[in-house]
Amino acid sequence: MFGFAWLMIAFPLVGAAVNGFFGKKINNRKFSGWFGTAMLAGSFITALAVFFTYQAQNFTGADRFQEVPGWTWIAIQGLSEKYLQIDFSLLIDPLSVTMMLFITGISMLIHMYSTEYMSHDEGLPRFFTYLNLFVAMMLILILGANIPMMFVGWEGVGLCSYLLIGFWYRNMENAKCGMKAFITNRVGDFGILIGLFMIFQNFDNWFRLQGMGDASALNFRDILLNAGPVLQGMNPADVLFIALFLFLGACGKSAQFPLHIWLPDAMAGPTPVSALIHAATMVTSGIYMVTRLNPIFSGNETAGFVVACIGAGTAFMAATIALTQNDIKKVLAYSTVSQLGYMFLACGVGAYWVAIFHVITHAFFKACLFLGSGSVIHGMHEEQDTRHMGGLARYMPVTYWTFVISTFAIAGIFPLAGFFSKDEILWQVAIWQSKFGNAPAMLYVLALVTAIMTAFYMGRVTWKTFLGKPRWTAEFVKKHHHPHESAWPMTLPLMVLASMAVISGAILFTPGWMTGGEPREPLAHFLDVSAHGPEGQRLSAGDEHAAAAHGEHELAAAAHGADTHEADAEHGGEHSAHHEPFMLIGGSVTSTEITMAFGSVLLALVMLIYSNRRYTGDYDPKKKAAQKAFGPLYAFSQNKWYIDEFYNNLLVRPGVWLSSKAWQIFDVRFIDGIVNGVAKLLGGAGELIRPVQTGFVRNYMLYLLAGAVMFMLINMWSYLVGGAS
Amino acid sequence: MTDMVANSVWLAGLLFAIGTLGVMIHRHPVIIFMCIELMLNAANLSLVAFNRQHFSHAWRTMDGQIYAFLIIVIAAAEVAVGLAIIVALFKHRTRVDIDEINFLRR
Repeated sequence: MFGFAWLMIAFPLVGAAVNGFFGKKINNRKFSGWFGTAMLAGSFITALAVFFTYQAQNFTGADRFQEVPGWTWIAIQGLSEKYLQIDFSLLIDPLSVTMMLFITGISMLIHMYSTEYMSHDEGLPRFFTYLNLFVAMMLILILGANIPMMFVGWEGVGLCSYLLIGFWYRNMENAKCGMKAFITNRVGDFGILIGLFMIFQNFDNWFRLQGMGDASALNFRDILLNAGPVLQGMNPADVLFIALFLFLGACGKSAQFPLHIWLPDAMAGPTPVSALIHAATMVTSGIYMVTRLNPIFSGNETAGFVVACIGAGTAFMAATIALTQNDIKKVLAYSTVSQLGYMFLACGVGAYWVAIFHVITHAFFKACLFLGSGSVIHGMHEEQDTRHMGGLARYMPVTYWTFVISTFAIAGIFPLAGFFSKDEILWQVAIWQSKFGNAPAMLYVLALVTAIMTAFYMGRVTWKTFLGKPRWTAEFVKKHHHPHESAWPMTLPLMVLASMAVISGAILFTPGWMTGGEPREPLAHFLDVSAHGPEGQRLSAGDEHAAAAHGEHELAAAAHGADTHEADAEHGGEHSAHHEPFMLIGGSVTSTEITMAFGSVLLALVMLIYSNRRYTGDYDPKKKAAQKAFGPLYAFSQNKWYIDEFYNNLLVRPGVWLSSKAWQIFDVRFIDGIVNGVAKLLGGAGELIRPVQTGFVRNYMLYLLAGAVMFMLINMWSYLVGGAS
Repeated sequence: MTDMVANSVWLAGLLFAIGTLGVMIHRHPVIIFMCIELMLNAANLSLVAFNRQHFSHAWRTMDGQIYAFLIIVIAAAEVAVGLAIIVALFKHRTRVDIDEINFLRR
C-alpha cells in the first residue's frame, strides 16, 4: 500500500546522483539548484501522499506499524534453525510519518533558499549533491524498519554533516570544524552501537525462548510490540545500561552536554547547512531515536531521570553561553543546543509526544531564524558579528519581521508555536512523578530560568542586529553603502517558515484550559501508538503487573497532557497524590496550569522588552557595559564555560602527546629501525664486496681464468678419485 | 685422423692461452681486440676439429661447423661495435690506454 514511499528517498538520491556526477558537466548554476529543489519538492509531495493515505486507513493496534517490504539486505545462516535476515524495508508509522513531513517540507524550503544564497559559489553542484544526500540519509534514518537501517542513516547523516560543515574546505579552520563534528559524533556512535547490540542480544534471546521464529530482534515493529514482557524479564541494570548507552549516542547526534561541542562549530558551514542541521535533520535524529525506542527509556526510572537531568542541564548551560556570544550564528547555535535540551527533558519525563511536538515547532522557527541570519549575512556581505550590525530593519524588512516573529516564537510568547510546545514541556515536568524526591521541582525551575534566558538572548541578538544605530564597519560602508534585502527565493521560505512558526503550535495542540474542557491534541492522538506501543502491549498491560503500574501512569500522563486529573479519576487509588503538580496555586490543576503558562509568558515578554531597551537607542558595544558589570561571569559565559579548553587539556593534548610519543619511539625507532636496518645490512655487504669490481678488463679476465682453472682442477681431481675407486 | 684432431685441439689451446695472456697484459685496446679474436678463433678451431671427429655414418651433422660460422658473424659484429667505441673514446681523450678506462666503475 505504501510502496510509493520509496520515492521519498529515491528523489533526493537521484538529485544527488545527477548533481554529483553530471553537475560540473552541465555547468548551469540555475539548473543544479532548482533540480535539487525540485527533487525535494517531489519528496515532500510523496510524504504528503503517504500521510493522507495513512490517515485515511484509520489503522488500529499492531496494524499501525506498516512495513513497506524492500529487498533482503543481509542474510546469515545461523547454526540453529533460525537465521538472521535483515531487510532493507521501510516502516510507516505515526512517528515516521510525522518526522518525514516536516523534514521534507523544511528541507525543500532550505534547498530553495540555497539556490539564491549559494548562487555565487563555485561549488554549487557539489553543495546540492551533499544537501540532497543529507536529506536522503535522514529519511533512511527515520523510515528504516530495523536497527541496521537506522544506523545506516545515522552514519550517513554524520558523513554528510562532515562534508557540509567543511564545505569551504580550503580554509583549514572550516575543515577542522568538520573533523570536530565527525569525531564527536563517533564517540556517540560508540554508545549507540553498544546499546543496539545489547537490545539485539536481549530481544533475540527472548524470541528464541518463546519460539517466535518470525520475529526479528532488529526489527522496530517486533521490538516495540514485545518490549513490555521482554523488558520486564530483564535485569533492571541491563535496561539502564542500554538506555544510557543509547542516550550517549543521542547526545552525540543531538548535541547534549558532554558531546555538545561540535554543534556551535558546525557554524563553519554555509548558513543553509546550519539551518538544515539545526532544524530539520541531524539534531532531531537523537530525539527520534529515543522516542522510537522509548519503552527502554520508560522501562527504567533512573534512565529517564538521567535523560531529564542532562537535558535540563544542557538547556541551562547553552542558554547561559548564548547570553554573551557576538556572532549571530553562534547565538542561534547555542539556542539550538538549549532547545534540544528541552526536548530531552520532555523525553526524560516520559512525555515523548511533547518532545516530538517541540521538535516540529522548533524546526519551523529555528529554520526561519537561521535562514534569516543567512539573509542578514548575505545582505551584510559576509559580516557575522552583531557588534558590526544594527539598524538593519529599514533595509531588510522581510528578514526583520520574520526574524522577530521567530524570536517571539522561540521565546514562547502566547499565540505563537513556541508557547504551546515549551509550556507543555514545562507542564509535563511539573506533573512528572519521579521517585527522585523533588527532582521535578528543580528541573522545572531550571527549565523556567532557561526560558527566561532564552527570551533575553534572542531579544538581544534580534534588537542588536536589526535596531539601534548602524554600527557597520567603515570598510563595509565604503564598499556597499548599505545592506540590501535578499531576493525572493530567500525571502519566500522565510515567510512560509515564519507563518508556520505562528500557527503550527496551535494547530497541533491546544491545552484544556484554552478550549474550556478537553484539550485538543491531534498530534498526541496521532502519535499515541508509536510513542507508547500499541494497545495491550504497553509496558504494563493490566493490574497483574503491579510493579510496572507506575510506568503506565507515567505514560498516561504523558499521552493526555493536561487532563491528568481525569486519568487519576479513572485509575483512582494511591497514585493520585503523585499526579498533582508539585506546586498548587488556587487548588485546581487548571488554574495552576494557566498561572504557570502566563507566568512564563510574562517573564519572557519582560525579558524581550528589557533587551529591547538595552540594545537599542544609544547602545554601543565598545562601552563593554556587560563585561564590566559581570566580570568573570561574563568571561565564563563568553568562553563557553571553558569546556573546549577542558577537553583540549584533558583529551586532545594527552592524545597528541601520546601519539607524538608513539611516533617518535615506536614508529621512528622501531619500525623505521627495521626498515633502515635491512637496507644498511645490504649496503654494508655491498661495500664489502665492492673492491672486487676494479673496472679493468684484465682483472675480470683473471677472475674468469682463475674460475676456469679451478673448475678444471676439481674435474680432474674427481676424475682421478673416481678412477682410483 | 685422431692425431690431426689432437693436434688441432693442442693448437686451439695454445691460441686460446696466447689470446688470454694478451688480453691480460696488453694495454692498447686494439691489440686486446686482436687477442679476443685469437681466442674466438681458438674456439672455432676446436669446434671444427671435434665436428670432424664425430662426423660419421651414424651421426651426419655439421653443427660444430655451423657454430663456427655463427661465431665469426658475432665476432664481426662485436668488432664493429668495439671499434666504434674505441674511436669514440679516442675522440674523447687523446690517449687510449685501457688502464685509464675504468670510469664505468664509478
